[in-house]
Amino acid sequence: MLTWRRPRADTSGMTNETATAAVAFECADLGAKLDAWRDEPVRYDELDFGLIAMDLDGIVVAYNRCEAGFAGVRADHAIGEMFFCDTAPCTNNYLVSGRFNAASKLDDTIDYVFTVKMRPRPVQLRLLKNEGSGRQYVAVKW
Amino acid sequence: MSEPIVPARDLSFGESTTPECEQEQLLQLLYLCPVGIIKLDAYGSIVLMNPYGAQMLMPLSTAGRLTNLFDLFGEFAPEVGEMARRFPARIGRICDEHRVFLPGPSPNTPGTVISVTLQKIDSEAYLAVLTDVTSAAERERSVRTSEERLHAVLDGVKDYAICTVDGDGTITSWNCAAERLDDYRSDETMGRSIDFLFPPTGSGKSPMTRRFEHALRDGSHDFEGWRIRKDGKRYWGSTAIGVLYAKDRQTPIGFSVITRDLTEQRRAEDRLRLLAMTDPLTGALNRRSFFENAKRERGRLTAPKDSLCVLLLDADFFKRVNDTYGHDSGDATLQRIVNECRSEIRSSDLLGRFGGEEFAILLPSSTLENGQVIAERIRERILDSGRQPGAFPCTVSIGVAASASHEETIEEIINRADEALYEAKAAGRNCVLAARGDAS
Repeated sequence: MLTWRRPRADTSGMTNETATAAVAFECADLGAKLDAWRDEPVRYDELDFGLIAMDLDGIVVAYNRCEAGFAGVRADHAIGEMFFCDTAPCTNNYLVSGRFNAASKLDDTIDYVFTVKMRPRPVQLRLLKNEGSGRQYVAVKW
Repeated sequence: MSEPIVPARDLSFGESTTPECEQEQLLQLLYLCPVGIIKLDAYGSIVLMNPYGAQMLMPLSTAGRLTNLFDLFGEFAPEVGEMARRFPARIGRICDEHRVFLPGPSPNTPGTVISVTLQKIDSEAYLAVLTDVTSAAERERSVRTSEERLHAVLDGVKDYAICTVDGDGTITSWNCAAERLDDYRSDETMGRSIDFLFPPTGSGKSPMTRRFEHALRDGSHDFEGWRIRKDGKRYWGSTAIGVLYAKDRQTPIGFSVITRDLTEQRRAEDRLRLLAMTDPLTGALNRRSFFENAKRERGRLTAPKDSLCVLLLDADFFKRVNDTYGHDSGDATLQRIVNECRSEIRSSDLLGRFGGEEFAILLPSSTLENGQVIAERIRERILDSGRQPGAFPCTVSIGVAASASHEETIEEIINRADEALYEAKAAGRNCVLAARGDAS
């Protein structure tokens, strides 16, 4: 199922605009990069970790291929839903959704448990929110 | 790059056609279910869990992992694991809506209350259902607080017997003051009809039925009347009946009955009235009260034969008593004078203090002769009692006047008595003189 995973490209020395989308989950300016690609959501599909992009109300605006694959959710079904309530109800608590509500700027990485087909699945979540961008992100390392 | 092969999440809940569709719909059901459903193995390790369950349990996890439910509850609700371990049967309900209190992330944030239902479904498996009941618990706490406050108010209200009845007049609540006022404990009154507390009114209906009907019509009903205590004695009370409504504020479901014991109030009112009317030292009427009452008596003279008599007394050389023996002695002397007057007059006669050592007596139906006789007796008494050991010698001069005609005002009569008093002083004191022109 993971046949689409690519080897990571070398992004050193490249600007945001020209870098390929082989960006690491841990990369330092991930939030900025994600904001820069907001008009090219296809770039999100090239990431090797799950990515959900939302507006500030938590409505999903982009749901990448990796996430769709692991979570078993079709992207076109997820887009337009409220992420914390409908797409991933297990995140609707102070650990995840509460953090977004409380801060205007966020970059936290936490261990979490998703349920895929009712089976607990340990993951890492990176919660990202940049001031003024109108966007917030949950990156998921499965 | 090939498309990931994932079954589409079917949001339409339409007719299932394939086993995959059916499975998807079942998963969907569990996915959207707003309670946490968790299957555990024999040790409490989580085998299956829906997203809502994860949502509730994640705050308990220490390492971002949800591995074992009993371990997760270990710190705040160890009894869950204990109940499971001690459960003897192979299958059955271990706990039902057991409340678990989980603190919030920081001391300032409120915690959550989770209701846990745990079922043993197999020798090797449990099913746990978790529900977040934080707001329900908060509502219950709020209701409990309100009830406690209400009880505190009802218990603290010492002078108002407060009880509630249902639509038939059966007592449904009974406060501490009611226990005190009526001398019945609540277990002696609850469930009984309230009629036994109020005396019958003579009509066919029970006394309270008619009053409840008034209350329903007008919203409330107040009345004064007797209320019967446990020992059968009655007390006079002021009772207010209010209508109690259901939540819709339209349907009456009962009444509140609040009674205040007026006995003490009546006594207090009487005392106040007395204070306003009397001279504190001697208990005689004060000048204003005497005049008011005297005017009234004057107004009662209708038949030509009716006559009233006024006596004005003045203690002789009173200043000397004060200077020789002190003001306390002076006070005692004035009290003595008043007491002697009282022993000669009837309760329907008026006795007032006009000044420092001046007193007035009004005999409402008395001729001049009668008045003179009484005045003389009073003078004698005061003289005698002044000679007793322990008393301070003091005499009185008395002027007497009777109503000459029904045109005369009370002030005019008193003035004539005053003139007679003046003459009595001039005549050497310790004597009684009638007003000139009055002497028959």
